[in-house]
Amino acid sequence: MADHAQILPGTLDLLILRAVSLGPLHGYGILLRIGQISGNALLIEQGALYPGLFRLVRQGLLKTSWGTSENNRRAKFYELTAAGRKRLREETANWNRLVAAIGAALAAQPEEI
Amino acid sequence: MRFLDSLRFRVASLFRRSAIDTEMEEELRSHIRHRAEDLERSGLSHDEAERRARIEFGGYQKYKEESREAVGVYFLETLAQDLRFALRVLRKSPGFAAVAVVTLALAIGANAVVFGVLNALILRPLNVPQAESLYAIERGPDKAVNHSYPDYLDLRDRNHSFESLAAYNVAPVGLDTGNNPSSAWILEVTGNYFDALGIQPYLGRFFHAADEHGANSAPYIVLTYAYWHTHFHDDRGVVLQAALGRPVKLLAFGSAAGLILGLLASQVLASIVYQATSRDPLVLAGAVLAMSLVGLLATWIPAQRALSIEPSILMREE
Repeated sequence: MADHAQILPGTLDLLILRAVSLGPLHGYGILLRIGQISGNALLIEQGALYPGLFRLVRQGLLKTSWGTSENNRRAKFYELTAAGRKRLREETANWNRLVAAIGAALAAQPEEI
Repeated sequence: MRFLDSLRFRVASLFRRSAIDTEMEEELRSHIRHRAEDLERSGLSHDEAERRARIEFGGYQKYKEESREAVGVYFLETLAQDLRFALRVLRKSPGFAAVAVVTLALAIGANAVVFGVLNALILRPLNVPQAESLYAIERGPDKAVNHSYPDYLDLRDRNHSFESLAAYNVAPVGLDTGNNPSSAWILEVTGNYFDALGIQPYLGRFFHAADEHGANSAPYIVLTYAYWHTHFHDDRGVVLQAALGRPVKLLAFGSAAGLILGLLASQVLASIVYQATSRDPLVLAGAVLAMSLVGLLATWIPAQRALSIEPSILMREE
């Protein structure tokens, strides 16, 4: 468990958008996809995914449809809307700026100041 | 628009709630089933896989509750709960409640007043035809809208830019309608005022530029509809009364004066001209009566006509 990072507040939405941007997925699939693309380094309690999903649907960033999963079970599939795609772009840019800034701040050496 | 959509969604959710609940339940269960099957494939027993899947999912009820909140389904119910709670708290501290209520009342009142003024002055367009071609003439660098009357006359007579130029002055007056003298604010306006605005009276007729012949030549008043409504209770008779009031007084005074003068004159004549006696009281009385009738008719007929043609609110100034 020590090599699992607790995700930062607010970043779950970004992860969901990113996972879904790679193709329509049901809830459990999103969780697997996040694990897969993050190298299983993030610790997400599975249930926590759903409030996030419903919030994104309500904001019009995701749309849903019922379908059949690869396990031959009925499942609700999520997919990005145009607004969702736009939000993902913006949030990604924001995140990169934040990471760059924090990274720069943490890497600053005494002689640079 | 978005707010409306969201509200509609929430109201609709209230009725579709059980459907949404069922769907949500199904989705969460489907997740756990999927996880359990994956765990089973990795070698766990069916029961163990089910158990692990539930544990990994976390607090099922908690996440379901959070999901409901995220969907906004329980918005109205939560609102009702919050309201009940708020009322209970307020009842516990009546002092605070009173202060809060008074503060709100004051704030709302102040807002209503400000909105009322804003609405009348800015939001509601002037209720005259072609309000957009109505202008106020300002004078000098300080943009004063007041002009001297001679200035107004010059402006009006040499005006080539506007269809017409009217002037007004706001003044406080005492209005005595017979039994209840009260103060009122009036606009003293030029004869062409109503024609310049291009409006028609609800009752009676307006005065026109032609009615004005120098100072004090047109002592007419026009009541606003609101004033007529609040002070005269929409009484059409008030117009007739006002139109007749002053002439009747004049008539009475004139008759009395005429009687005395007539008596005096006949005395004088009698002393100068022989046998010229017109002191017969019957003759004098008849003359006064005839004069009064003619005078009354002269005021009654135009007043009646004013009422019938364009039913009216024109009054002679007392």
